Amino acid sequence: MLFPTLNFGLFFLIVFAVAWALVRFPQGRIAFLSAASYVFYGWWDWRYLFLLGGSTLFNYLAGHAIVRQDTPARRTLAVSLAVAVNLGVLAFFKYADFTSHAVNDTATLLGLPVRLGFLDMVVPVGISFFTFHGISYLVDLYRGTLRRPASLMHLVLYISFFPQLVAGPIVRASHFLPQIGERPDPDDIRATRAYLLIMGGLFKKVVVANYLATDLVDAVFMDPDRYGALDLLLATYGYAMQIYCDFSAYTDIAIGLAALLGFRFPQNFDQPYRSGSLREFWRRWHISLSSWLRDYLYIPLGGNRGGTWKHCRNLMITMLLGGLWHGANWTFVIWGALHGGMLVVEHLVNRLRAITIGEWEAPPLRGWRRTLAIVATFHFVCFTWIFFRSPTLEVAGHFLAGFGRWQVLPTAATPLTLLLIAGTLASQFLPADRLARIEDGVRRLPLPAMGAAVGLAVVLIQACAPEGVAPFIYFQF
Amino acid sequence: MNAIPTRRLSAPAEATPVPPPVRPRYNPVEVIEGAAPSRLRSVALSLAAATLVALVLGARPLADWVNGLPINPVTDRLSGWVQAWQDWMDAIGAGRLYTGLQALFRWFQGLRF
Repeated sequence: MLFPTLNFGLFFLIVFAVAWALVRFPQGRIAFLSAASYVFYGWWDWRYLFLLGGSTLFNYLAGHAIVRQDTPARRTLAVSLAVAVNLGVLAFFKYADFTSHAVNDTATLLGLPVRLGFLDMVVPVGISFFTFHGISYLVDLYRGTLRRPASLMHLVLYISFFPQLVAGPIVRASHFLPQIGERPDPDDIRATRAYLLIMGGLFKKVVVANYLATDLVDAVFMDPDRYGALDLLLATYGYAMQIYCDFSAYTDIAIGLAALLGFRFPQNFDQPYRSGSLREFWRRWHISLSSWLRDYLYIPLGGNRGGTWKHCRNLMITMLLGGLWHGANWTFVIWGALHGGMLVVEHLVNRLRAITIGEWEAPPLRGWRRTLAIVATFHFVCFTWIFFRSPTLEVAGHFLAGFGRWQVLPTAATPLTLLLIAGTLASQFLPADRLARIEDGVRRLPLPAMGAAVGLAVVLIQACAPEGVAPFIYFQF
Repeated sequence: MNAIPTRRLSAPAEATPVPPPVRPRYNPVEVIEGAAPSRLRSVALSLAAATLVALVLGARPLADWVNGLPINPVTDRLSGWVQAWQDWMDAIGAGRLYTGLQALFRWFQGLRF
């Protein structure tokens, strides 16, 4: 079920009513929300319910095994094995055929008589996300951030909770399991903020992302040789806005839905295109993933300890794996490598700046320098999106080669697509507390009147919607 | 008698830059932090109001959705009810906002330079 559909709307109304009716029966409420989440996931393909359930059961048993070990070495071994199993399952479904392709291509290059077969795997929706939730649970137990293993029912809900199951945000076990254990307060539902998030998300997905895709980006990326440099540049900007709106829409709606059910999710996007450095970009884009990679991969590798060389190595490994996490394609590896490489360059430049003034950290840029840094960072990110969006390296190559065709007149732009790009870019520079300001503005409205406004907004957004609903981009991850 | 320890005066050591802490604590920003709380009854009424307004103004997309469901006796009957509802809403002009905005948007989408 996709969020912006009537199917899901009816589903959520039923879940909302029953979940709050069961608020005085915590175990019943948790069981119901878990069952609803399994219905939500099974709507795509019921067969993958066994994968979801199996992953949850394995992590439940592994969690108990970890805390039962009596020496640090045994605990480390237990958690390492458990994490390896989780990653192995993810690798099997996502990377088996990619590995076969890579081995076969390398063998051909070296003239070796090696031919691996292909499994033609369909990647289960959301597998990257619920695998990371499982790993978060195991590592949080190992580190002691979680004091004791969760009950099976709590763990089932944590891993399968439908607002965040298929496209995040990646919610840490130590952040969410305590909430599952608490009884939500029916007098403390942050409904107005939730409605603003959901309506904003619907508009970003149904109008902005959809039309940028259908009216500009898809056509240009399908056949970049037909277009000149200006069209390619516009399509690049268009994709940057499309992927931001598509992905942030999903997580905004997820956060809003969770809030209506009494749960608190972390922020996942914070106006990323106003970043003045790539480091800042990764503190504003897909925050739940970047912080997850920082805490569960970058820091265990050593983080910024061990000298400059190890620091740079750890940055590269983290970003390469972060790129590969997005999909089994060399384009994602290149995308990750570019980000890793630029983070290394930024780190070295900042160290040089810091050393010259005798500080540990270089001071932040201000004034025109910061403006220039924002423009440069935005364009670097857009450049890397070319690889992210291109289905193959060959298409990316054709796309980049097209930037030499400045004499070709632009044909792809329309008033609608320009307005959507400009509007989305402008929204990156709105005040950070814009939601709170809007909420203050509508505070005097009784909540039922606010609800009527929500109904009106849904109809207006639907009136602007294209036929059908394209899946969210991050479903493929 | 013990010698009184003396401290040789020397130039103060230069301040050593302090590295940042190794493991940042996970302290996520919650988007609903600071948002105004509402009571369940008000929220339920607001969802009911939203549904009612959407049913009145959105009768046409509702009919499109029902007509897209698998055909069986239940959806046949539902389709009949929704069609009747849409006819009522069209008769009182409730659907004009939807069709008008849709036409306007399509016109704007079709504009070219």
